Amino acid sequence: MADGRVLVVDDEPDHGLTVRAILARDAVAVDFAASPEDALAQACQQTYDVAILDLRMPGRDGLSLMHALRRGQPSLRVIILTAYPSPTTCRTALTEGASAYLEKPCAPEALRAMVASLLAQSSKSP
Amino acid sequence: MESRLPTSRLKPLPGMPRATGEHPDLRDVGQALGELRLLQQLNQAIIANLPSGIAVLDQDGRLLYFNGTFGRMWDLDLAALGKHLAEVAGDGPLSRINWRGEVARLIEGGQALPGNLLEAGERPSRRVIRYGLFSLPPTDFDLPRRLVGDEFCLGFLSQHECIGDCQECCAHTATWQGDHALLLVEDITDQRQLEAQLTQSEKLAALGQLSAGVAHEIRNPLSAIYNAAFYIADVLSDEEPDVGELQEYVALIQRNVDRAQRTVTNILNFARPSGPDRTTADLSDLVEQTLAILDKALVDQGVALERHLRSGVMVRCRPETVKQALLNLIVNALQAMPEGGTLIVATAREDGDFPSVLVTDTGSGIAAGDLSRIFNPFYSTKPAGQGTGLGLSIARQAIEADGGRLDVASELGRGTTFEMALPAAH
Repeated sequence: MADGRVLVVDDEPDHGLTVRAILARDAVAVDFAASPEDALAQACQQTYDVAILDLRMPGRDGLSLMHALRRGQPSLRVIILTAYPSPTTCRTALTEGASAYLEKPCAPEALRAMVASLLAQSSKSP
Repeated sequence: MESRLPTSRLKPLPGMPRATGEHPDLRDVGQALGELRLLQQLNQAIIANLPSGIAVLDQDGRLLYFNGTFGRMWDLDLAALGKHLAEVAGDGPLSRINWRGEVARLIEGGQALPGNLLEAGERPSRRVIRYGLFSLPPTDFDLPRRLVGDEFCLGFLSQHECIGDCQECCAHTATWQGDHALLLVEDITDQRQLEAQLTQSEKLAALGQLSAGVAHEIRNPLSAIYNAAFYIADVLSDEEPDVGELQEYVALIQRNVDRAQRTVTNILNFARPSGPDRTTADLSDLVEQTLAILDKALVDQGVALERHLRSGVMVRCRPETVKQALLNLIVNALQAMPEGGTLIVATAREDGDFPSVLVTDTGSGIAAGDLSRIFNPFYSTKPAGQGTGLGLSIARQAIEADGGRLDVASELGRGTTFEMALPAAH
């Protein structure tokens, strides 16, 4: 797996922690934020290559967080992960620049492969 | 139904001179009698065509009179006259009442006893009727009666030309003496079935509105379980697996299985069709069970929840119906606070005859002009397609059917409070 840093943002701690554990097995550095505010605070301290964002979160949804994070880190690759997928949010996410839109539950192998691929792209074109 | 108009075949009443046409005064009497007969036929037609059953009971609860609708409801014929109502009403709902006692209570209290509900019989042929008992002015006379079609006429002016000595009607002459009660009966079985179907579809519609929350509550634990199982397998595939930390992920799986299970149970409890019978329930339990499926919606919307619930406040109601009404009130409250706010749910009047639950939001409030219409069917302030406009109407109807009340108070810019009161279970 390529070097890089991943931020996982999910208001469901159990979900976020298991994603972090799986990705960390590939020796990827993974941070976890349990809220959008927490994520923005961490992004002030750290640069990330990939962010995995839950769509429905209290206060600010994943798409809005994607835009907020990108203001500080324009090359950030984003995977939107949602338990309530809809064609509308999928279209919006992809048009507005998300690299992928995945449904929960998502096969961990697929997520891991997706992250590896984005990290590889990130290392080629920072 | 007899529809002939009065004719010259009119005969005089006993003791009344024959109208010969020779005496102007007697001609007037004949004309007046003709008009009276016409009026009686008109009244008879109105009463016969009413969809309500009408009967008159004497003070012993015996049938003095009934209209065709009442007769058809309970399969009665003329022979039922003079008999006790409970005796001729078969095993229908009317047989369950002590009519003598009811009439005595009516006469003694001087107050009408309207709006009582009776249910009897086994489903699906179970019948639900609504009856009211009203006092009639005391009388003291005998009236002959006669069948005309499936109605029987009452009084001296009937088309039957009896002057008081024929076998046909005088066998059924009723003595109207003393106090009487008017009994009005409506068969509302169809209405109740329709109401139950509407409540059920409104309930499913409400669940549909909550589907995002439901998906969230099922898929997140599933996803966490999937990931944890994958992670455990991945660690165990190592040559020298470090199993020490796996215990944490096994616990995570158990925790999330419980959560998904709880969500499914909550939905099933909620979607279960309402039973037809009232039962005794703890008001705060009903509130808690409703809040259980709304937790996620509250968090998502940034709405804080304040609970002021006293347990042990027992009410008589159909629990599923009450939970559905509460869900409608809370969903409305959330819709009134799109930018977040506080939802306050509290029990009130806990020791009275009608304990209540208050659902208060700190939303935009409802204008005074709209307040009187919010319980009207199909009245909705939501955009087209986002509400049937039936939620509050059905909620109020269902609560009133349980003998309770649903009221609203609101102030623009401050918020709205709904109060649902239910009969106490003593």
